[in-house]
Amino acid sequence: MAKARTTKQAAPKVPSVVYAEASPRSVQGTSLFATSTPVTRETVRQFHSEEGVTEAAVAQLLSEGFDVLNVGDTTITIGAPARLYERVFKTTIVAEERKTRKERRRVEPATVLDSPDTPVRGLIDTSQSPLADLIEGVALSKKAYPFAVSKLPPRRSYWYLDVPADVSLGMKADGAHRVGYTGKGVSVAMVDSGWYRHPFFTARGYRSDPVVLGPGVTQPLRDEIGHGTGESANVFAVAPDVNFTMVKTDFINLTGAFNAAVALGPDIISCSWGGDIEDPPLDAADQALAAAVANAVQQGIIVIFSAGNGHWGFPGQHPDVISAGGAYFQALQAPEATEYASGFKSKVYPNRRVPDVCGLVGKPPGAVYIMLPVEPGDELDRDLGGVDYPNGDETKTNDGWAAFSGTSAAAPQLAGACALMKQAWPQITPGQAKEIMKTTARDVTKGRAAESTGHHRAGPGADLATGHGIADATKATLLAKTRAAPASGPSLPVAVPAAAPATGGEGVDELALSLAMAHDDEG
Amino acid sequence: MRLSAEAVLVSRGDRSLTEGSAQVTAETVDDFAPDDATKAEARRVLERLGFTVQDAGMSLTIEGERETFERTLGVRLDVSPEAAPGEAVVTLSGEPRLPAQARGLVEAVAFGKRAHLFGSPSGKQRESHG
Repeated sequence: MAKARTTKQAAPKVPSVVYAEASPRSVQGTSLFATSTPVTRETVRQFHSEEGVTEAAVAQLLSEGFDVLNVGDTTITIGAPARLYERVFKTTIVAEERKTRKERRRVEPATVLDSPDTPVRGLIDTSQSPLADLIEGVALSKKAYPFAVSKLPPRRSYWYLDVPADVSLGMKADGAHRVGYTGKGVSVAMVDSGWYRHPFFTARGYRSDPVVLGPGVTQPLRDEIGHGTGESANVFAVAPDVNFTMVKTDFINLTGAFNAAVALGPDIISCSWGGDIEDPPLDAADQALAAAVANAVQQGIIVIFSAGNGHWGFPGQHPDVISAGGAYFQALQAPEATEYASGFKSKVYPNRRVPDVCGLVGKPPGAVYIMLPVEPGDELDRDLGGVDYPNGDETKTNDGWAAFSGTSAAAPQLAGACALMKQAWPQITPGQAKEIMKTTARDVTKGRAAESTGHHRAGPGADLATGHGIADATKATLLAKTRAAPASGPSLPVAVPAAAPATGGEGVDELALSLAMAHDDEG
Repeated sequence: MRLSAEAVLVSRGDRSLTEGSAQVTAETVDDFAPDDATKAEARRVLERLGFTVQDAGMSLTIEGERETFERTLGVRLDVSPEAAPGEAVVTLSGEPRLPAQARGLVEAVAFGKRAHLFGSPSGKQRESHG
């Protein structure tokens, strides 16, 4: 049976990594792809496979070279270059452009993948492969971003920040970029809702490895909420050359997801979520998470957690993390604390003051502040779109852009700043990164933090509203550079004295800071 | 329905992650770590009980059918997939009892609560300010 094809309008490309769902042969012999029975909650069990079959299929897929991303009850999520599918299943993978009906009855073109050898769209026939006895079919995941999604954000009349430019400027990263510190060679993992390959990322050449699936999640190409996709843009705004990996989580077993990130061996892990824990004791699940965080930091991974949006954020209050608070800045005004962000003295960890430093966060009621790329029509796009500022962002509900922030934005901004420091000083420890970040932050002296965590007031010096202030990525990077071995990273635009001690010293620090001041346009 | 949880393992020393007031930091985390033999044996036992096991460093991430958890823990599980942030997705109907072969290896099986995303519009501030 021939398939109906739509007319090709362009030459869509097969992506470098193709994701698919491999269906192991089911217990009852029912094919997921040939059945006329609707697959529902009531009928899904007839498509389940025997554990032995699934395990053998996983082993065989791995031996053929596929990445196995998740093992579910009915399918195994796999990823590999197209040529591997073509070799193993003796087929060809083609990219096609098809008209797809989107929200509000709009019909838009989208790129989808197909194996032309079968009558079912997107289905690979496995009968000619060594996996024929184990896998009854492989369904190619839809590569489905509509071309209507713009790599540029929509323009709106209220005050907000764009990525990458405004966030880079607000975090004072441009100075570091100018002297070659862009996060190159540094790996950042983020544990969040997923990552959608938005044209914003591809047009700028940002690097992201395939999404890693945490416990219980599927769909590596999707970010149904949009949170992870948006927050990742904050990392790239500050550190455009990092190697980024998203670990997708359902926000339930977060220890498992966090440890999936640790297993990648990244330099930095950024997390924009947490519990709301004011009083001890921690329960077993939270202690397991605390142990995972401590273990990661002990291994030398810099871990950043959001302090919370009026929450007593945990692990944002764990002593080993860099706790990311929020401050608000606007043109021609001094930065100020925002009542959207948490600031508190931990009751779980005595003497722990939260936050350490701040990123850029909006104000109540909705902290609609940073225009970020999201998956078109996802939760954030829908929730914020079509609603007037300040309760919504006045964008469309399916345009792939949403304006939001919270301390969720601060954590990845600080992760980007840490990436610049890590490039400048590859041996930097998590403790040193935190100390430098605090030392070089810009003090915030007005405004208050969230009412629910004490409504602490910002003032001169460190305080419970903004910690040590807004991070200054350039100053932090240059101070890190002066403390590093002389040969690491790009050269500074001034000569560092040959006698400079490797561990830094007051004179050297002053040199770095005075250099950084040259980039400082606000004092 | 597949569920996921953390198997908290017996530590090599006398400290326990089930001490709610324990300060588990980079300086102290080794005191709470299981030894390699315990971890390997716990993994074998949990796999034999029907779980898929990932070595998660300090603990083991276990995944399995709801029935597998119920059989292993000897309790009925109530699952609320739509639980709000801060609420438990899985609640146990009674006091769980680990099977004999897991005792001395696994201290607890911990189900997490759904986390808050700290990006607007999901924050407390949003809720309180409307």
